[in-house]
Amino acid sequence: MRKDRLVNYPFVKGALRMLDLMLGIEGRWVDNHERRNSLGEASCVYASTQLTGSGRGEVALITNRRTARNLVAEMLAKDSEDVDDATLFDGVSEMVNIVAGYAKSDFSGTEYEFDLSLPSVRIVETYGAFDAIDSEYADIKTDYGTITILVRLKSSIRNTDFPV
Amino acid sequence: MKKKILAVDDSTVMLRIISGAIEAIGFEPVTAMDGREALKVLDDNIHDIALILLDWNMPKLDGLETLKIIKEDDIFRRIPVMMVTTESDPGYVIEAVRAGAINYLNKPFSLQDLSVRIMESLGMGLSKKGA
Repeated sequence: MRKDRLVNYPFVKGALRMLDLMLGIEGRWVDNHERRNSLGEASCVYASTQLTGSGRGEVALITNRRTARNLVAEMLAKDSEDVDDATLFDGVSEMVNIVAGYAKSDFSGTEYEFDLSLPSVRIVETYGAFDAIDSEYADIKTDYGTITILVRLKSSIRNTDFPV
Repeated sequence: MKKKILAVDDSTVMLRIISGAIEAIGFEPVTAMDGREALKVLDDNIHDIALILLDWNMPKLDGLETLKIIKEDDIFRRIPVMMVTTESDPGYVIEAVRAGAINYLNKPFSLQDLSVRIMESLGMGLSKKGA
């Protein structure tokens, strides 16, 4: 299926644009799948925002701490050693806010349009904490590591319904 | 005295990014993390603030309501306001302009875009810097 017909495409676009404009780094969308068997590592940063309205659900940005710290450091033009945990969590929280906000305009005017809650961040120690059906996962590779964008829409939207 | 620019956003990381851009063009940044705090900062710095950069989605008092309060105040209303937000739908832009915003910048943005928009909002040419 064409990538631009996938329901998580607007969110991936938002992530790529954010990486380019605000971090000055290239992201490469390398994989897309409906289920994850393993993220490959424990103790991930899970930054999410709830989608409310017709297109209700959740979008999350998931990555390991080291990658997250490097990305936030890049946003701030600082060394990663200068990014404490509070700044790290705030930074990834803002990232998912930007990604979801960017995607929101693509859904605007459709039956899947949504509003956003304020984002939240937590540390996920095991993969099972965010494994769910009806979720799309997209992996974006950067020089600092991989970011996974999770999109979970509780409405009946399907990939082939998504207006390109 | 160096003029100040007030940046209002509930993200400390975003405030640091914006503050860096403000300093780079020769102004002093002052910050607030929500609309209520912004109004207090305005009270304390009323004669020094040249521009307000306002996020939309914030706790306690959001950007649009803060903008309306600013524009209804006899003293605050003279300060130009630029929205800096993830909300890109044209309806939001129209609503902000109707409430009195003079400029609108969507996140994500490059530092160059931010700097240009700030200077534009201040009525400054690209070759000019500082207060």
